[in-house]
Parts: sequence; C-alpha cells; structure tokens
Amino acid sequence: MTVQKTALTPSSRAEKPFLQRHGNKLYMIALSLFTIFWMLPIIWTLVTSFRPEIHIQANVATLIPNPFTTENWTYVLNSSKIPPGCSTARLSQSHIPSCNWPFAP
Amino acid sequence: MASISTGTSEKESFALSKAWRETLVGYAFALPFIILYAIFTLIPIIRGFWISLHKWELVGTNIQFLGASNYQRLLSDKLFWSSLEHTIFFVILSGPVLVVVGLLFALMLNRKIRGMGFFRTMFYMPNILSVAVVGLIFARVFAPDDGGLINAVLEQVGIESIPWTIDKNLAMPVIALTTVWWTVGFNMLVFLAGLQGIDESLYDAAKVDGANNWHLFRHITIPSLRRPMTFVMVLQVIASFQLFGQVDVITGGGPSGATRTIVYYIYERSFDFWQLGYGSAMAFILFIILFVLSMLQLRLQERDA
Repeated sequence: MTVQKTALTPSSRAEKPFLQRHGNKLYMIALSLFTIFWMLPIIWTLVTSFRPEIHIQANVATLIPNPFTTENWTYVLNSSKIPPGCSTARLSQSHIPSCNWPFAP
Repeated sequence: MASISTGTSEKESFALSKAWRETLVGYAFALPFIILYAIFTLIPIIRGFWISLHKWELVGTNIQFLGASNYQRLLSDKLFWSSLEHTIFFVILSGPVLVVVGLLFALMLNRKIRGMGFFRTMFYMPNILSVAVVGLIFARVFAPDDGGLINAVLEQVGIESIPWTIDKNLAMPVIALTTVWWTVGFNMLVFLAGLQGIDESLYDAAKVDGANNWHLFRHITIPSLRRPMTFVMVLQVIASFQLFGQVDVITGGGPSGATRTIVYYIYERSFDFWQLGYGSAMAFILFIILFVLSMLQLRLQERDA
C-alpha cells in the first residue's frame, strides 16, 4: 500500500496544471496587492504623518517620507491640549484668544 | 341546558382573561423600551412636526404659527428641488456600486484559506473610521492641486492634474467614491454572513448534475442571498438619502452647490439661516420620501420571493 502511494503522488502532482497547484498562492498574492491598493489612502495618510509640516504645506505628494520626522506625532501626543470650552467650531473661527492654534503645551 | 351554557361562557371568559393577562404581561415587558422609544424618538418626531408648522428661529425665539406655509414654500424653492436632484443622483451613483462591490468582496473573501480573516479585517477597516477622518483623507487624495495623491500619480504618467473637487461634474462622483470606500465593508460583511449560511450540499448536488460556476452563482448563490440583498438595499437607500458628512468635509456643498444634498440643505437652512421651522418641514418631506421608498422596496422584494 505504502509503495503504491509514494509511486502515485509525484505523477499525480505532475499531471495537475500549474494554476491548480499554485492557485491558492497566486490568489493570496493578488489579494494582497489589491488590499494594498484598497488601503492606499490610509497608508498615504500614515506616511504623510511622518513628513515635516512645511513639506505637506508645499503640496507635494509622495509615498516616501523624506525627510522622515516624528514631529507631528510628538506634537499630537504631548502638546495639543485643547483648552476646556474650545469646541472645534470655535477653533476654526479662532476669535477667542485662548482657543487660538497652536495651544500652549 | 342553562347550566351547560353557563359552563361554556365561564370557560370562554376564563380563556379571554388568560389571553388578556398574557397580553398585559407582554406589554409590561416591553414597557421600558416603549417609554425610552417615546421619549427619545416619538416625542422628538412630533415636536419636529410641530416646529415645521411654525416660523421658528434656532434658539426658539420669534415663534409664529404658519400652518402649512413652510410646506407650500418648499414647492417653489428651487434650491430644495436641486438638492433633492443631487441626492437622487448620488443614490443612483453609489447605491448599485455599493451592492455589487460589497457582493464581489464577499465572494472574494469567502474562501477557506489561512489568513483570510486578516483580509476581511482590512476590507472592513475603513468602516470604523469617522466621517471626519474619511473626509479629510479623501479631501487630500482628490485635492485639485498637485498635492493630491491621484493627481500626483497622474502627473507621474504625464497626465495633467484634474480639478476633482472643484469641477461641477466630478465633485459628486468623488463623494460617491469616498462613500463606497468608507461603507462597502459593512455590505461585504452582511453578504459574507449570507454566503456562509448557504448549505454546501446544494452546491455539491448541482455539481453532480453538471452545473458550472456561473450556474452555481446564478441559481444557488444569488437566490440564497435574497434576504441580505433586501436588507443591504433598504439600508443603502436610506443612508444615501441622508448623505451629509462627506459633503460637509470634502466640498462644503460646492462647487456652485453641485454637491448640496437635501440633508446638507436642511442643515444650511436650520443652522446657517436659523430657519428651524422651514428646515423641519424639509426633514419631514425627506422622512416621507424614505418611508415610501423603503415600503416600496420591501413590497417588491416580497413579491419576488
């Protein structure tokens, strides 16, 4: 029985077409590429968060943050404390001195 | 004879009182929900209708009873009709795409391969973002200048920048595309649940009878997904008619009012012009439109079933 099995397996593998043998792998590669494409807006936003503010303002889109900086993350995590009583509407109008951007750390 | 009739009526009255008792117990269990539903849903709706019959400024001052005047005014308001037109255009543009793409994604991810859970999470992920975040991302992706992602890619292949959000003909498709990216994950999830509920033996039996993949899809998958399809379509139409956040963040109703939808117009009238009464009248018209459309869809689907 064992001999029969070992004798059959290679030949049956050889008979299988390429797509059937590697179908799942190819499917996963195609799916991964499509997932990257689908997630591109989020990836791009993440990349942008590692670019200096001055480069972002210069309106130049790139997928590689060069120069790379963590200043935006540091700013968000350490110093962007919105004073109490300042809503986003007030922030956009910024006519209230204590609500003016940037806030004191 | 008399005693027999008394016995029957006693039995009947007992059965009746038992039924009543059961009904009362049922209502008693439902009472907490009914009270909360009345406080937070029914009363505000009635109050909204009451406001729509008045000239009512935002802070509740200068209140005058107008009767149906606000509703009459709607008929001759060109902006109301154009915003309704824009909303219907958006529903037509995004609705079918959301259903078809949702189904395609579900079919694509309904495989028993290791790691499929990761991909399902990835495709659902945009759905957990808030509209403000999605709006900001896509405002930059479709930025009309060279800083936008799409325009940067187009520039790389030698195509001139396209003024996505400032072109009257392109602004609404951009909003629709943003909405598809943001919300299609939910539809995918509903279809995926539907697909996983289909009995595998149906496919096996059909294969034995010589059915190919298209036959399996056409005669087993699609009919089995009728209920999820109805659910998705009804929710989609309601959600699309209520489009607001994406417009507010990406285009602000522009260019030249090309993306001013009915909810955005209600917001403008109520909160920018302080015309809460007129805004409420429009909200009621929208409610009636949605109610009729939902009923119509459900009836059509029932008839098909």
